[in-house]
Amino acid sequence: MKFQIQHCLILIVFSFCTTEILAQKQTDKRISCSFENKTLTKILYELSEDEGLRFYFDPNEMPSFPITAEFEDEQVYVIMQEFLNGTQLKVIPYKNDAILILNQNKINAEAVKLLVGKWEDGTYDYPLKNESKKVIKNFGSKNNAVNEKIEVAIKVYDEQSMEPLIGALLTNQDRTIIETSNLNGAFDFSLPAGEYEFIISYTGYQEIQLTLKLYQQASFDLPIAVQAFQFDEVEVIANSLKQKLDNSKAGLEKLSMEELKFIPQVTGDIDLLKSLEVIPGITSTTELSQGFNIRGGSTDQNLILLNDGIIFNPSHVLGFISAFNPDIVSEANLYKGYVDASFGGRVSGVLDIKTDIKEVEKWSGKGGIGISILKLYVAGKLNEKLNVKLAARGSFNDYLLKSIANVELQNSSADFYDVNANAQYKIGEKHSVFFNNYYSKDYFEYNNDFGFEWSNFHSGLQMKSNWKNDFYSKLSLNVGNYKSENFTLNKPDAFRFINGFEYFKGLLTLDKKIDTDGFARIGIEYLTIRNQEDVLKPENSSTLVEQKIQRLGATNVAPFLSLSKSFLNSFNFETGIRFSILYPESGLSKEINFEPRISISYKPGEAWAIKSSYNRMSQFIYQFSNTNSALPSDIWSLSNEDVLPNLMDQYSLGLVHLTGKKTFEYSLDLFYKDFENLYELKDFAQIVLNDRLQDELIDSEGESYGVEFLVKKQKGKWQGSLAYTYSRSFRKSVGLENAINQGESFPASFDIPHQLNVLAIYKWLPVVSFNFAYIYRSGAPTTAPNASFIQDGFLVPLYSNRNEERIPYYARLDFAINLDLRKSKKNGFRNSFNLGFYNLLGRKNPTNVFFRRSSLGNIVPFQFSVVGAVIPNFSWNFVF
Amino acid sequence: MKVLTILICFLFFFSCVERIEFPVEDQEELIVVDGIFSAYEGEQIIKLSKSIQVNSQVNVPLANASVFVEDEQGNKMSFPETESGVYKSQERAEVGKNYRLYAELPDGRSITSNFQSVPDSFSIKEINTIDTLTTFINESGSNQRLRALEFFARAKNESVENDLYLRYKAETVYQVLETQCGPFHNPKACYFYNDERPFDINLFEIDNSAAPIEFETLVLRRKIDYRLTEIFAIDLSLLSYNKEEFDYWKRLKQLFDQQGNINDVNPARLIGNVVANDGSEILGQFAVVGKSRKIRIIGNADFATSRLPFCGFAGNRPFPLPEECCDCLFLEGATLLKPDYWP
Repeated sequence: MKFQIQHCLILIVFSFCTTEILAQKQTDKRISCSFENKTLTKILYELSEDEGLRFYFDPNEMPSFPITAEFEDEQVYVIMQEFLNGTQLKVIPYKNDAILILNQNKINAEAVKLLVGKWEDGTYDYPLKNESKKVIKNFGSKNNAVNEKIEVAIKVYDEQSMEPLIGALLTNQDRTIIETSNLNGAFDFSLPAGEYEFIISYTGYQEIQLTLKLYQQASFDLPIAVQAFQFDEVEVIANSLKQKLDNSKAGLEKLSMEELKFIPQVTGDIDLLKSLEVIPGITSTTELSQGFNIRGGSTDQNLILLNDGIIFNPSHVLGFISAFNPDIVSEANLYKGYVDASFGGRVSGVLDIKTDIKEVEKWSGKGGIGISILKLYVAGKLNEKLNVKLAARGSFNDYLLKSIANVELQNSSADFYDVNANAQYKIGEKHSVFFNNYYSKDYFEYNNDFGFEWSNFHSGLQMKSNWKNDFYSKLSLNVGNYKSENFTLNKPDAFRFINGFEYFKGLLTLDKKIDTDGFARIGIEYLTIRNQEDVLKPENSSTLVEQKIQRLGATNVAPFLSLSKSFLNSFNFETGIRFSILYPESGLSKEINFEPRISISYKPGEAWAIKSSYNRMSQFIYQFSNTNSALPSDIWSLSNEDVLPNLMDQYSLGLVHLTGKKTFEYSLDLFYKDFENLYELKDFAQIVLNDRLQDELIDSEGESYGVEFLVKKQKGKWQGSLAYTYSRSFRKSVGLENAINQGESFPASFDIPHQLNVLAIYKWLPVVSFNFAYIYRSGAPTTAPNASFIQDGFLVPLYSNRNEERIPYYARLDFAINLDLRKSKKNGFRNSFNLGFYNLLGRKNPTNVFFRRSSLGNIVPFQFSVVGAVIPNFSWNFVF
Repeated sequence: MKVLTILICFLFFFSCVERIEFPVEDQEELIVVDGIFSAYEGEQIIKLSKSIQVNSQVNVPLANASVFVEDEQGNKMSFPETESGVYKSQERAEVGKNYRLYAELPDGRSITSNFQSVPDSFSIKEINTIDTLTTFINESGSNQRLRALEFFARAKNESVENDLYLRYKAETVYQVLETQCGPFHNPKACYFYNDERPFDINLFEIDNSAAPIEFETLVLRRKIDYRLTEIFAIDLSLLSYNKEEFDYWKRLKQLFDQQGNINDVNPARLIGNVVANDGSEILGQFAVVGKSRKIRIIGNADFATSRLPFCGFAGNRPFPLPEECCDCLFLEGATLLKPDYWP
């Protein structure tokens, strides 16, 4: 009781003091200020410098979320209240000339005394002073100074991984940008002789205060350390507007996990693949799509890489959820236009996902639980050289299903999990080894009746080296496999169909900076894919006889070269060439394809960029499906003497514009793709256990074209984007024998002419946001009956030409509330919550339209909707 | 494999299948051939018709064509038109010869099929029935559990010399017997042929074998109602096809088995084996087949609990008595044509 009274008295005293001081002290002072994406600590620092305010606070309890705000003649107290909304921190005037920022659970005299003491004895200081690292570089002396401009080349790279830091900012002391680091992580510029003070900054990395005494040509490397306290908030570097403008690669999208978390998803968690749909040019036909379509390409035309390893089925639950744990992803780039020559093997685009390890000071982790998913992630340092990163995610659908009073559901299963295990070992200052492993597994069974089982495995070893003279190398060795099983149960003809394949991929890249603004890369990729036997086995007590076939694999060797160069201060170009040499396992003659690529960007001013590119790419692996949806059991087949590698030429032209205050980004892109050696399945093709699959294929060609428009706002309380894509994709049989649709051009099954995505985010408080996402897309093409006839008593539907009709359009509104307290303090256990509603309008979007006979024998259209109602979701995530 | 209606729904419990309107542009009328020519004794029938709208079930016969079956030596068997669009002949195929369809259409076009041999036949031994509860899909697309009679056929050959491609073809007839509606009324029996469209396509591929081969198959499932309980007959044929013609039925079966599943094979336009001299599209099939046949007749005595016929029986008439019980020809599909095998 005595203790409580004491606390109450203290509070009364504080309250009294507050009242008194508010009327006349620092908190009452009226100021005008503006901040853009600054942490509270930094804001306090600036206020102390600019306005003479004095703050006492515990730096470890300061929120680290970025704040953007503007105040005009406003009370300091009001401003501070605005900043601290949603946190546990309180603003309290202290004496006559200072402001306390205290955790509301620690408001007592002792805590105040301790806090003030720590500031006064120097224990606490503005962390910003410690965050910056001072670097002084001397080149020559004043005596030897020359009159002309001196060239300066600085290369910044991650101290741990040796990776160049692309898009780092070199600024003056007043933060005006001088240069952005290029692909090579290099700043190249020239200055008159003299002494200069620069700041080099890169999100998530230690800031460098660079003093440059420049009297002769200067060239040096600058390793930059990750900001230790930010480790547990490692985020993919945002595709900032400025970066987008500067990037010379047409069609490159750098994905930001920080942005993706605002896109409502059915699981309540970030879904890397499903989120791609907000990018213009990216579509999927239904919720059950395994993968996504890039600019009128099919799903199997996308190269999905995880640390150089190939992921063949990137989905869980038949395509409903991505198979990538968002917590472990450190970087994700989507190439939908220009594709660097180091990538190849698929013709439409590349999703390059990395789970690199940044150096950390202490063990940390993340975790979460949603309506059906449990996940955990930890990372830490085992010793000075060895860092590890582990993540696992799994569903507990079976537990839920067993608890439902429905026998069919109780006898069903929809389990999945995925595991990542990475380790990075530093060898000296210049070399590192990165060992990464990934495994995902799905088991799907319905009512003890039928099901699917599939898994992806990848294991890779990367050796990265930073040699002298701006020379870098990476050797990457990868093995992996994909296995799929499709089965029926408890039937006289119950079966299990097993197929899959394994691969080995070796990749060597050698990078060299040439001149001050150029970059060269040469390398070679070796990829061999071996099919496992396709096996049809009897299941349970089936009378089926086991059958097997062995389809042949192939090996692809692809040397490549790429160059990038800037000229005339306004032009950037990248070019590359790749030779793809295919050796079919049958031993027949090799196929050589020559793949030139080039991208040119031109910046007529600070706010405009024009980009164009040309790409030729080839592909020697195909996924064949003769069902409505792509299934895990679809047949992957490799090129051979009858099925030539698919070739694609893409031409694109884009325009990017930032408004004066860089609040809005507008972009407009045009593309045209021309495909050769596409193979379409014949009508009623038999693809299972068919070792002459080529006999079921029709040689085809195709084209895709479209226009993509994006407007994006990344500042202010209201943020978001609006993306519209008009895109067409057509196929046409080559030759008239068995020609589909009599040899006429017809829409591909993923031809979605119109797609509109609107993402609206209202950041009510720094930690609370309301997120809306709306998607509209045209119905996918389908083949539907347009007549019928009678054959031996059967009323037979006469189907239209292939893909002549369309299913109804798709529209969905999602909503989520994010309460993200993970950034409200820097250390300790922190939470975030997500409450969402998927398909808020409850629209029954068609997954498929099909026709079946009713009891009257007539043919009746039906629509199947995977989601036919509002789906609420909730997830709780934490970091520690 | 089963299903999808509920497939993914069990994950999120929110999926659904519902009937929709799906307007499509009607296809222009195309000629349809529906002909079977066998070595089996009896009438050989070739039907010519036109394609119909997708939601229609009304046959549109093509009359006034000249229809022949021709062998490789150019010998033609004429199939005179016996009723509109129906062309019949008593001549049958001879084993060892190849035949094709040749027809001249009223619009001047001629159509032909490929030449086909007469395949070996496979014998039906018996037809058994089981009274059971089963699921039917009603007009709205939902399922209904109803009492039904299932017909199982057992087929057996002592050996199989060549690979066989088999299909069951089931035809049905039931009878409605009028009641005495007055002193001068002479009650008659009406017959109803193939009143329901067949639902299942039963196909079998049998590899050649020196050993006996036997298999039993569900060939028909009918709701138990008055149509079965008076006199009902199933006339079952087991047709043996050439490979190419059999593949046509495999494709047709794929179209029939569409359930909206993720496993459904993509539907496509069904192309038959008949072509026109001007290259225009001809639908349907003319098939030369081997054939075996079995008839099973059932009545009230075959059911565990007796059922009332449409017009009841003396002492137990429905009230009010349907007017069709005084003239059964008012019933849709009724004919007085009695099958030659009727008891």
